[in-house]
Amino acid sequence: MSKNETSLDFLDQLAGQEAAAKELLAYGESLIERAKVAKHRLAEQAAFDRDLNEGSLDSLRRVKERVNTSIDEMIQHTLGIE
Amino acid sequence: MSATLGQTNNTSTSSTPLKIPTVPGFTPINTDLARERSFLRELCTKVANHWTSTFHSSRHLDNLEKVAQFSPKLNAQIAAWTALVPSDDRTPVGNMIATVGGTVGTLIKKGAEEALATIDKFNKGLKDITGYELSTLSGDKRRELSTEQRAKVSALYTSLKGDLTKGEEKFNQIGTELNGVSTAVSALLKKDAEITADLKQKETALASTEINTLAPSLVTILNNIYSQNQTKIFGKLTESANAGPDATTITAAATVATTELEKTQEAMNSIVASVNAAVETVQENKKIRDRLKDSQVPQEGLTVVTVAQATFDAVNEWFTKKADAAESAIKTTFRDTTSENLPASDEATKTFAKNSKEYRDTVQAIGKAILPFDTLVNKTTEETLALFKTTVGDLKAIVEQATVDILNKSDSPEVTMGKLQKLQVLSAKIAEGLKDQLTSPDGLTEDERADFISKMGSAVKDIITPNRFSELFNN
Repeated sequence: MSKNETSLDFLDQLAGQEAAAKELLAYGESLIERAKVAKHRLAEQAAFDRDLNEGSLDSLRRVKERVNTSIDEMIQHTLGIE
Repeated sequence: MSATLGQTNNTSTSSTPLKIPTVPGFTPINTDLARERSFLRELCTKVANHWTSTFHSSRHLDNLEKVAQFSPKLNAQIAAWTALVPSDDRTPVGNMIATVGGTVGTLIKKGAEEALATIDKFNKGLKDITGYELSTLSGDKRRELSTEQRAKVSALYTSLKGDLTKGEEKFNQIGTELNGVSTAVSALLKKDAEITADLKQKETALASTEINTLAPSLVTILNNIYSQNQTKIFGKLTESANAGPDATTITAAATVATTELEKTQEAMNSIVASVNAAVETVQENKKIRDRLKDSQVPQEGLTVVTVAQATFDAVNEWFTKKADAAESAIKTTFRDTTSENLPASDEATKTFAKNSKEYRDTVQAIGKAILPFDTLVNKTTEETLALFKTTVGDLKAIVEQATVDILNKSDSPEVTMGKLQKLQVLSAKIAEGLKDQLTSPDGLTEDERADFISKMGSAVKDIITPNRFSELFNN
């Protein structure tokens, strides 16, 4: 670059900023999604606990269905079946 | 943008190293919930790694200096966020953490979007001038740019510099807000962990005391009280986080929630103190009763012992019922209360604790006033004893009956205590009067003494007839 030429070093800085901001955006969105999943699972866990404590026939049937589902999921996961 | 994200300027308070809040240690969690709750910790690690690698890979020395400036803040942020992971697996805490985590995510996203909006403007202009965007304008391609293009790019940067700086300031502001949220939530979780540990400690301590016979469900009651209040308090914080996302609101809500947890803790401590006072009363009365049983009183004195014992039994039984009823009332109050009403519940608990202590003191005083009746039995001759036995026996029967009558009435604690205190004063006067006359060395002959006792007995009986008692204690 000659003495007359304008320095464009700020472009490196801005490129770094852009990459950082994009990654942070992705992290923010990921965190929002994870929070949603966590709340959903907590709600499921609470419902499971309620059914288990309630002990009525219907509630125990729901518990049984959930347990069966979990076992099926586990088997599918083990066998690599999606 | 002239500086890296997170850069601090010389006048900003954010350049001052932040005080890292003390956080409770982690307890290994073996439940499935651990996975959900570890997301914040994972995120913090990722963010930390990302920022560190981004800054450290920079080729600009000034950026490295800025990393050094930012490090204390970053470290504090990570420490505070890490503390958001709870040490137990209760759902209200998990819900609150997840919601606050979502809010933190939204704030990060907002900051990133604001930064990108200006960079996008720059990219658009850059593409118009050069045909490339920041990510594709490599060093070789830059060198091929004409002088005119360079000048235009530089002018574009200058025109957007103000916006870039504003974006950067906004991002720093969001970082500060996140720090506030993290610190407030960390303090809240620390308080929650402290109360949980305190409850466990109380459970252990109470298991080995007589409290189990007086209030076997006390630990359950305390756990229920805390659980109910915790659900409400964390629920309110979750509502605030859901309504936002506003870092200021959440920080304020977390601070209020911490105060409310402290109030709950104080209320629970008051309950334990009041029940402890009740236990102490029963224990004291039991000691007196045992002492009476073991004392070598003549056969003639057994009537007195029996009466005194019946009085203590009646007091104990009444007190146990009162203590149970009070606990039940407290439990109901706490079940029905909202977190806003905590101070009122706290006041009710304090009143109960105060009354418990006053009951205890009054009942003990009556016990002490009655005791001389028993000790006098040993100091009388057979002849005097016969008179004494009748007089004192009658008097004690009246006092005992009055005590039982007072305790069996469904008066308020204040009225009951007032009556007990009147009875206490009267019992003490009678006991002291008899003692003085019967033990005075230069006093009366045995005949005179017997005559005095008889007359005094009649006089006292006249004063404290059941009707007079009724009049005295029922009005």
